Amino acid sequence: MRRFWSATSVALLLGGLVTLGWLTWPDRAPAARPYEGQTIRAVVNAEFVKYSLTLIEQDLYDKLGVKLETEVIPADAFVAKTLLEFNSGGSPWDLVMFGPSNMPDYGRHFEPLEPWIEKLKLDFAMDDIVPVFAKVMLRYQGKLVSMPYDGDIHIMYWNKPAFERAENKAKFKAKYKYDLQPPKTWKQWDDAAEFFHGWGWDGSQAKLFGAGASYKPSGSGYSYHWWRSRFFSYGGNYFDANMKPLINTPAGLRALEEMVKTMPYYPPGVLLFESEEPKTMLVKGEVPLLYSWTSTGKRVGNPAESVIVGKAGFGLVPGADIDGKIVNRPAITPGRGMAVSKYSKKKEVTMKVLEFISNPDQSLKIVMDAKTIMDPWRVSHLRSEKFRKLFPDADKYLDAIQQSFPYLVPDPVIPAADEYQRKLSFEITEALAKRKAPKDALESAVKEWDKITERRGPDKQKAAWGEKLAEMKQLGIEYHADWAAKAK
Amino acid sequence: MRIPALGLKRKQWEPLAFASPSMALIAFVIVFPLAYSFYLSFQNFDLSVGPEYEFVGAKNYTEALFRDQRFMGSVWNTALLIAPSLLLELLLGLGIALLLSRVLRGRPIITALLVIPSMVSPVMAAMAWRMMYGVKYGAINNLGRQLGIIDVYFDWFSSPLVSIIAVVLVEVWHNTPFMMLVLLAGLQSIPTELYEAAKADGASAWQRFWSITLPLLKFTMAVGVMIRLIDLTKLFGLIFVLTFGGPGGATETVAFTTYLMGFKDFRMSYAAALSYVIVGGVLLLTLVFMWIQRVRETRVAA
Repeated sequence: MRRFWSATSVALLLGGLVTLGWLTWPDRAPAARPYEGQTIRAVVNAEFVKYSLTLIEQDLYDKLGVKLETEVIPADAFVAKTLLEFNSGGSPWDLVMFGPSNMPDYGRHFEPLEPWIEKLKLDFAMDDIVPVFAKVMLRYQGKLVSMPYDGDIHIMYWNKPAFERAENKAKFKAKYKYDLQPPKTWKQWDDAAEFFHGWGWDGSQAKLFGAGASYKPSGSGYSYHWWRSRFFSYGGNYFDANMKPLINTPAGLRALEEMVKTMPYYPPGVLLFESEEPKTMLVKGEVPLLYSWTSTGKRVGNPAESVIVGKAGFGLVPGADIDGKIVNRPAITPGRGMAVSKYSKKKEVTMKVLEFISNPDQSLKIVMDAKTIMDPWRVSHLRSEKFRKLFPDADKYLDAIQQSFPYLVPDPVIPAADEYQRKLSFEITEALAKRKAPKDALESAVKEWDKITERRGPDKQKAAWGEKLAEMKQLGIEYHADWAAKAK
Repeated sequence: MRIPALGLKRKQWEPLAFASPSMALIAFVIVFPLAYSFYLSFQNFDLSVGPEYEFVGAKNYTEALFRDQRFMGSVWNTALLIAPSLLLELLLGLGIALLLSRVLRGRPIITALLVIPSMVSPVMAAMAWRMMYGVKYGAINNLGRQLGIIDVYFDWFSSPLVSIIAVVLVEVWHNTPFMMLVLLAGLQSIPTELYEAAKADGASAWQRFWSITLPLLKFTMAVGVMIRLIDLTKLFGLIFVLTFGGPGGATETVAFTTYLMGFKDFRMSYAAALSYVIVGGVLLLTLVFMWIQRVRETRVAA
C-alpha cells in the first residue's frame, strides 16, 4: 500500500511537471501581448490615413498589446509642422508618415531600420516590395529608414461606353481622321478632350466635359504632377549634371503650352481642383478621361458612388511618339512612407508596430479599402486573389498598375524637393490662369529653382542630385534635347 | 514704507508693483517676440537648412522690396482686394447704420441679427462661401440659373478678375456689420438738437446729411476705415480656404505670401523681414491717412 502511494505521488509529481513544462514552453504559451499597456503616437496628414490605421488597430492590439494614438496634421501644413518639430531637435511622435520625395529633409530624423531588424529579428518582407518603390522611396544616405505605406502612381482611366458608342466613334473619325480609342499619346489625349467637351457624349442632353485634371498648386503641387508626365515623355529632366534647371527647355515649354491650350476642355474650377474632385467627376460619368492616382480605381469600382462600375478602362498614362515608339513617363506622385522617429523614446515597440502594419496581410487590408485612398505597394497586393476580385475589372486595374511600374518617374528627391515642386507648380498655374506666358512662367520657375539651390548650397544639392541622376539613369530616364521637336 | 536702496517712497513704487505682472506679461508675449523677430529679420535663419544662422544686414529687406516679384505682386493683389472692400464696406455700413438709426422699435434685435456675419470666423465663412460658389451644386450658380443670369457651371475662380470679385464679396459680407456698428455708434453720438435746428431752418434731408451727419461722422469713419485697413492687410484665412492665392497668384495677399515663406519654405528670417515690411507699409498708410485728416480739419477750422 505504501509503495502504491509512493508510486502515485511520483506519477502525480511527474505529471504536474510535464504539464507545467508544456504550459511554459514558448510555443505552447497562451497568446501574449508583449507590449501590453504601451501607446504609440503616430502623425499622419489626413483623416483618411488615420482611418486606414484603424483597420489594423484591433489586430495590432491583439498581437502586441499596443494602442495607436494618431494625430492628423492637414496636408497643407504637414511638412511645415513636422519638419519644424524635427528641425528643432525633437518630436512628440514615435511613428511618422511622410512623403518619400521629402526624404532628404526628413531622413536624418528617422531611425535606421537595419540595426533593429538584426536586434529584434524583424521581417519586413523586403523582396515583396515593388522594386521601383524599394529603389526610390526607402533609403536615406544609403540606410534603410522607412517602409512604404501608400504606393501612389498615376494611371489612366476612361469611360468605356463613351469610347465605344457608335455615334461618338463616327463623329470623332469624321473630325480627326482616325479611330476613337483610349489615348496612347498626348496628341490623342488632347484630341479626345476637345472632342468630348461640352456635349452629352453619353447620349444625354447634359453638358459634359472633355477630361479631368487637378491643377491647384497646393500640397506638393498638383499642377506640377500633371505637367511632368508630358514633360518627361518629351525628353525632359529636372536638372542637368551641374544643377542647371532643364524645366524651361523645349520639353517643358511644349508640355505647358499644350496644357494652356487645352484648358477650355477641362471642367470649370479645375484650377482649384485637388485630387478628389476630378475622380468624383469620373465616377459620376461627367468626364470620360482622367489620369490620376491609383486609388481612383477603387472609387471607380465602388457601386455606392460610381456609375461606371465595370464600364471603366484602366491603362498607362499617355506618352509621346518618338521615332515610332511611344515613350510613357507616368509619375510617382509621391506616395507615403512610414518611419520611426529618431527622437522616439519607444523605438523598440514602434519598430514592432512598423513591422506589423507593413506585413503583407495587414497592409493588404489597408490598400484594398476604398476609403483609405492608400495604394498597393507590395507585389503580393497586386497578385492577391481577394483584391483582384474586389470589384468588376479589379484584375485589369491591378494589371494597369503593374504595367506602369517600368516607366515611372520619381520626384526630384533632393533636399528642398517640396519647395522646388511648389515653386514650379505655382508658375504652371500662373500660365494656366493666363497671368503669364508659358515661357515667362517657366523662366520665373527657373529663377526660383536657382534661388533654392543657392540657399541650400549648390555643392550639396549637386551631390544629392548626382546620386538621383544616376538612379534615374538606371530607371531609363535621361534628358533628350531633341525629343520635344520630334514628338508626335 | 520706503525702499531705501532705490530711494523710492510707497507712492512711487506701489503703482509699479501693481502694474508689474501685466508689464511682465506684455514684455513676454508682445515686446520680446517683436524684438526677437526684428533681430531675426537681419539674420539668415532658414529652418530647412538648419538651426544655425548669421547676420546678413538688410539683405532680406532689399530682396523683399526690390527683387521678390512674387511679394511685390502680392502687395498689388492686396491693394486690389483692399480698395473695393473698404469702399463697399464703408458705403454699405453707412447706409445700413443710417437706416438703423431711424428704427426706433426692435433696433437692438435687428442690429444683433445683422452683426452675425462678423461673428463667424473667417475660415468658417470662407468654407461656407466656397460651397455656395461651387460649380453645378453651389447655391449662387443655381440661383443665378433660376434668375437666368448665369450658368450652373460658371466658375467663380477661373480668372483673376472674377476671383478678386468673389473674394471681395465675401469680405464685404463678413465685415460690413463691423463698419455698420462703428458708424451706428457715431451716428447716435450726434446731438439730435442739431437736426431739429436744421429742420426748423428748412434744411432738406440731403442737406442735413451733407452738412451735419457727414462732417460729424468723419472722425468715426476714419477710425473705422483705419481699423479695417489694418485688418485687411492681414487677410489670410479667407484666401487660404477660398482660393489658396489662385488662380495662379491672383489673390495671393501679403499675409499669404509671408505664410508661404515662413511655414512652407521655412525662411524664418525672410518671413520676419516681410512682416516688418508689411507693418511699415501699414504704418505709413495710417500716418498718411491721419495727416490728410489733420490737414482737412485745419482747413475747415481756418
